Amino acid sequence: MTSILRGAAFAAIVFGLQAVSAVAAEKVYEKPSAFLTRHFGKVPQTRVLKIDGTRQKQLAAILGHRYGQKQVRYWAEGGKSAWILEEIGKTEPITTGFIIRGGKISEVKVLIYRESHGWEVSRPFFTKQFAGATLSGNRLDKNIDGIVGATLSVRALTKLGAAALYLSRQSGE
Amino acid sequence: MAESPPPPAPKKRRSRPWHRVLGVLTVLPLAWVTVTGVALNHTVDWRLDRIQIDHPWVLRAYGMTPSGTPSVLRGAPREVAAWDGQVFLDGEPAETSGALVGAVPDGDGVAIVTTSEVVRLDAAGAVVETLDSISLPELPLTGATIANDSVFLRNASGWYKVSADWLGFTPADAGDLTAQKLSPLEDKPTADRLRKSWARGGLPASRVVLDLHAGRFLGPLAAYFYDFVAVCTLWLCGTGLVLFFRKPRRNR
Repeated sequence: MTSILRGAAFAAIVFGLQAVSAVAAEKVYEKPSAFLTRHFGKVPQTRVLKIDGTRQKQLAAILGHRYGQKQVRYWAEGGKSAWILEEIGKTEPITTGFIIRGGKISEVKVLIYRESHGWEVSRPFFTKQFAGATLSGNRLDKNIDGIVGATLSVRALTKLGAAALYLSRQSGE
Repeated sequence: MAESPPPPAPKKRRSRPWHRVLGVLTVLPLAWVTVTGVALNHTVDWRLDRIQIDHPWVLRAYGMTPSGTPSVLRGAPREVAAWDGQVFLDGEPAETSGALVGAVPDGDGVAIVTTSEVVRLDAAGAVVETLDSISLPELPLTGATIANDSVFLRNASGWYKVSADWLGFTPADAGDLTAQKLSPLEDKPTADRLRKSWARGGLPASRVVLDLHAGRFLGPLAAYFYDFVAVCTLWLCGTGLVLFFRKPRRNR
């Protein structure tokens, strides 16, 4: 009887560890190239926006920390621009695509999610809230409802949305 | 006249010998726990949280020693090495992912090429940008080199010439292009430096003292050893109390 219980406990632990590792694995919802192709028909010519001192300062105010690169790539065509940005939720970066048209967010799509918790931010019921948002100071002009258990991921995406709008404004697209 | 029964033999007293044996047994563990406990109590005062320990014995005990052998990139503009999944630029860890493929000059800085990305760094080592699948030819990258002041990258399809701004990748004739190669690093001082760098400077002394205090270096036996020491200590206290309150026979 004891050995059966021990076996069951061991199996439960192994199963639990596998479940945790499966949840923590990187999840690609859409490849970045597929995201661009879906919006532009093909991957447009890559453009670069330099992050000078002023922009770095403004991005730091939006993100709450220094932006980790000195330039950022984006894609623009037909009056809209695409920005693929990363921000850490809790410990891992969340790769998110933003489409900006006329100074407003047109679409938000979580492309790659790597955290173990908070994947719900990738669901359309959450990302749809960003549609039509513009930049107001260092924040979005719309209130984005949170998700229980995904607070840090929600915060990361909200900051990225503001950063994408700022970068788009700076690029003139 | 009946003889009176002989007086009962005096009860053998065992407290003192037990006290002595237990005292000897527990002196070392108790001193160990006490000293490390005092040190932990003064972690901030004694800056134990800031002192880094990078002795090879300690790093090995914590599994903070890279496995395999280090390799260095020949023909790179700066010292670029790799060891157990970590890429080093001038001896410092570089934030990259994927296996090291090459390193080419990039303006005043350097571009580190791995199988899955290119990390462009300026002269000070700050990241200019990281190029991934969307900005590079099809991954994985298998080679990198520089020829005629131009950078070339290789994947399964062949070689690509990279534009100066890293925005364009034009298929190129292989010609006499030769990919940079990794060679085993045989210079021991450099290897020692990389080993320390791999461990990110070592461990805070407070962490080591805490683990010494908790006996974690004893492995799974630690809990039983500390149980034994705890029982011995309680017994020591008990025998000490008996000795304290016992009436000496000579005073009866």
